[in-house]
Amino acid sequence: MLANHPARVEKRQNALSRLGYNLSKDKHLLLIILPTVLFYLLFCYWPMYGVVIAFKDFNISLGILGSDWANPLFKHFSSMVNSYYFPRLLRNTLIISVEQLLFNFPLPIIFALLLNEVRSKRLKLVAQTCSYLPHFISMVVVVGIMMDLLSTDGLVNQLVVRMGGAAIPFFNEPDYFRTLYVGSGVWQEFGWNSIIYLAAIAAVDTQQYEASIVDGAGRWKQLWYITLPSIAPTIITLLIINMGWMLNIGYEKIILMYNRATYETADVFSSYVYRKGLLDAQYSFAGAVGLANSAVNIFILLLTNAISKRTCDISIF
Amino acid sequence: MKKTRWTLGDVIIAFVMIMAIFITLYPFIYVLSMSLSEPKYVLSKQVVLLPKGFSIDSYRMILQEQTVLTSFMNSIWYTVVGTLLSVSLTFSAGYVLSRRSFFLRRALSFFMTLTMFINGGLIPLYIVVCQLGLYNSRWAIILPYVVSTYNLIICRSFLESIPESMAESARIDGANDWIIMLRIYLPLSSSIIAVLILFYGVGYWNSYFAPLIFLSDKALQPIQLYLRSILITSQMSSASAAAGVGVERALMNEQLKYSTIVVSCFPIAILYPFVQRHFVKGVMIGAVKA
Repeated sequence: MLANHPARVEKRQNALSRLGYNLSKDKHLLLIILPTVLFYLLFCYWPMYGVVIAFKDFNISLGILGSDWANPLFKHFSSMVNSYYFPRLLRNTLIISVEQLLFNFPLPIIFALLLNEVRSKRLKLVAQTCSYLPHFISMVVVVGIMMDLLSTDGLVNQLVVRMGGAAIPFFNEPDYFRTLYVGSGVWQEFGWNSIIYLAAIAAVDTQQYEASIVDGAGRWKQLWYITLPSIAPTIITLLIINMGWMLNIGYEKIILMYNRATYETADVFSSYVYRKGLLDAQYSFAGAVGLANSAVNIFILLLTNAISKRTCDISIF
Repeated sequence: MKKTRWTLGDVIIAFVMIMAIFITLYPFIYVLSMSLSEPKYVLSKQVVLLPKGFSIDSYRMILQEQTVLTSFMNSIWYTVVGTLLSVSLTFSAGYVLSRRSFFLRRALSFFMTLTMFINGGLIPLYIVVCQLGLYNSRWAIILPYVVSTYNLIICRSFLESIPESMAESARIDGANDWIIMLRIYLPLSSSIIAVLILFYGVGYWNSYFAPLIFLSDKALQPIQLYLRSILITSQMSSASAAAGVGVERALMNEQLKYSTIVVSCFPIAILYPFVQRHFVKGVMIGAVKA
């Protein structure tokens, strides 16, 4: 038999003995990492297998294996695409993603560049320390404070009324939802996201600035011709990462902020998955929506990565 | 650098910075002032910047409210136990993955990094947690999130920067990996441990979604869920609803929101100054590898 050919047997024995050698050599390392591997298997890979529920009629008492396959197989996907809400979800997801990128991405860069130009060392330190703070505050508190400040008798509306306007019910007006969502995100993260640019700026060789002063360059010219080009690779790398993650809008904050009155502009795929899946217990349908959403996300990540690899030779993998 | 006069540009930049500081701090000052003002000014929302009148009655009342105390203690439990577990697992896994001679190093690194890009999503995770019998268990909000791949990568990169020659000499003296990890690498890693404690600790303290979907038992819920119920879904706590006959009590209810926010941010406020100098480093190590 071919399988018992002497060369093969020897090869197999070699591989086995190498494995045995490795196992005994690294037995402590294996033991140390075992709990972490178990975590990944249980809570990352098992759920990955669990996405098959999108192709089944999942019944919680039958389990993932026991449930029947959907008939037709793509039933839940087609009912998603044909759903009345599909265009709305698609529109909201896209608009919020783009707005988020548009504001969340450049502001930390501008803030870092400005910080770098601050004359007073103490002011710079205070501004840095304060700007990181909101990053550590919980979403519930951020949304809670925002709701309070913007409530109909809140501070903002007191100002509006004093200026002769009528109080605006910000959280019940679909028109304001995206602004509030994106704005509070910027408030929370602009300082934290600037850290990486500040570090990149600090790494610029100071001799370049000294040379440029000799050549008579002013501040603007230094910024434009030295600082910005020096941190450009950082900016581009982060841009890829940000674009790749663009459609991953977290449902955590959306479901805190929205209500029936603002679904029109607030409901995105992930929040819809939460509502359908966990509140209405339509597991298979929600699983299909979630799977479609993450497939699109991965596609965009790979696409941006490929584009930037080709155009500016920077890629994250 | 020579001392020069402040130009118009300097003044504008300084002004922008002061505005930025004000905008970031204002909501915190507002909440703190509201929690310390006299209840009648809070009810009519007359506080703008500094407290009007002074009263710490709302804090006194919080200390008597059983729901707040229970959820606060729950949060502390989740944060302490979760952070301990997370940091130990992350550090030890980071150690293993930073060993260049480890025969599964590349395979396991790939196995773990892949999950940053592909995951099962919310619904399958929910089903798995339920099938494991973790629903309404304290472990449901720790175990499914115990290792963050991002933090693991930060930790691995940090440990890779420690020269392996130190481990080699110990190995010749007969030390195994447990001893090398705990006796040699751990003492050298205080800064990365601080970063991990901060990231995981804040994560557990602030998490509300996992408890929302996995813990329906009120006795297990953390402070963030309590906050959600009074701030966002605006339910009065059951205790105050039951006892809420007194006028004084009704006056206080509004203010309790603010004091509870302050109390919930208190642990972070204490921790913040100590770890502040470390986290820039943490972000940097992460950024290099991300």
